[in-house]
Amino acid sequence: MHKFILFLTLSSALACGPQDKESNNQDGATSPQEQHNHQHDHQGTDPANDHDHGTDSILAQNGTYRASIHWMGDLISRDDGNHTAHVTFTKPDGQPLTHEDQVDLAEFKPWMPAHGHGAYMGNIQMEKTRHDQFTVTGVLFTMAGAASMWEIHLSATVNGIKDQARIPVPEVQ
Amino acid sequence: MKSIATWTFLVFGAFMSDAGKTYACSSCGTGGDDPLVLFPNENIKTYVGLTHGRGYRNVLTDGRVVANHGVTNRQTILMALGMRFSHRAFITLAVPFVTNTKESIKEEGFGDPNLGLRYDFLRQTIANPWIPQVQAVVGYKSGQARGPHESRHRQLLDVYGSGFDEYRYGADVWWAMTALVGGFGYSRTESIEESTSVGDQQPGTQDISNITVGYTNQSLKAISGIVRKRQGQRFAFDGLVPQSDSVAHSIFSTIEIPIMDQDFVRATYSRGGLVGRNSNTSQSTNFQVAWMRSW
Repeated sequence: MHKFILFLTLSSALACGPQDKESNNQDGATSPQEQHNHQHDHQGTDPANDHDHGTDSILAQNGTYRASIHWMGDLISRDDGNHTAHVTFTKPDGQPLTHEDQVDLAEFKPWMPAHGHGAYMGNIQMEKTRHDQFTVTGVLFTMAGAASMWEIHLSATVNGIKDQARIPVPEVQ
Repeated sequence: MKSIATWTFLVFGAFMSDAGKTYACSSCGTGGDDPLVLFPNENIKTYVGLTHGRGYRNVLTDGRVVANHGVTNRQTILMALGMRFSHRAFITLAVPFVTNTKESIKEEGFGDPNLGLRYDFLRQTIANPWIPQVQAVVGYKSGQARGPHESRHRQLLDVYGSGFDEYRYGADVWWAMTALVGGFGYSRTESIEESTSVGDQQPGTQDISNITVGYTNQSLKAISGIVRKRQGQRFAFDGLVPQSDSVAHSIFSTIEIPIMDQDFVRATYSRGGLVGRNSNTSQSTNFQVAWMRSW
């Protein structure tokens, strides 16, 4: 019995190791510099009601584009598994994409870095609604914790170059 | 006893001291008898595990422990596949391959295939962090492998399963919104009566309950728990067999390490029949390593 309890203790000690491995300093996530340089990008989103809220524009990991997510409706209190978001892409310097720019959204993945898993994606549908914007429906958050616990992992191709971005789900009061 | 209390305090003190710093969940379910539990984002998951069991001893009806003259070592390779077919439900299929050893004698064969279904009766939600996940659990195990009553080996080395078809049902409660996670589960297993050369036989109803606690962060999770199995009297020869009911308690501790987003490595240490009151069962010590990949 003592050996088992000792084993438990060692296990917990190991588990208390370095945390926040996927902290905000990684490429594509919200680094302090990003926080400083962030640009609110509400261009092109059509506010449907007073509860809409957007996120900062985040530079993709390889600097191919910037992307922001504008959530529709009351994000945190809904439990119908059908959240809707507008994803808007801009150039790396924040300037709007033109009609000549080709953008394709390949993946919109809700993810919980601290938990090591994401949400069910079977209902997610992505539709290009403008030359620089996609509407994503059917987003299901399977656990609580919008306040920095959920991220959206985007994979998009802009002008033939594929790149990823991690965009935090905003805290909503 | 004082020493145990001190260690317990230290263990849970370590858990609690870090509980407020991070949020992490474990596998979304206590597991229980299922080796494979899918996260919400996982549509397909494979599992390969190797378990080495040793130290087998018999526990008599009155709790006395005596030598076991059968298997001395048992290796089990468990292959499992899980598939999600909705945001609330997934199925798993597990097939074991068992190698029984006693000194230089070795017998091996496939165990009973085990089909399971989990349905999220109550789902965790972004709206409320205090709502746990409650899963309904059902399963069916086909008694394909040879059971003890069918053994042709004097020391039962050719026994790889129960020998009976079984179905089970139960519930699994899991809460994992802080670094300190936990849950409990209960299931009941019924065996289907089988006609044999010596008459109809049917193992007693088995009740399995477990309590699990653990600590997780994004780079590692450590979970421990206790499992209680209680089985009723066996039916044989047109009547219940006296003193054939059993009680067994086992403890386990698991460390699981995620590798990227898709792969997990798990190591488990468990001891059966060695804590609490046990009756008409066996003791064993088991080490397990497993690898999982999800899509």
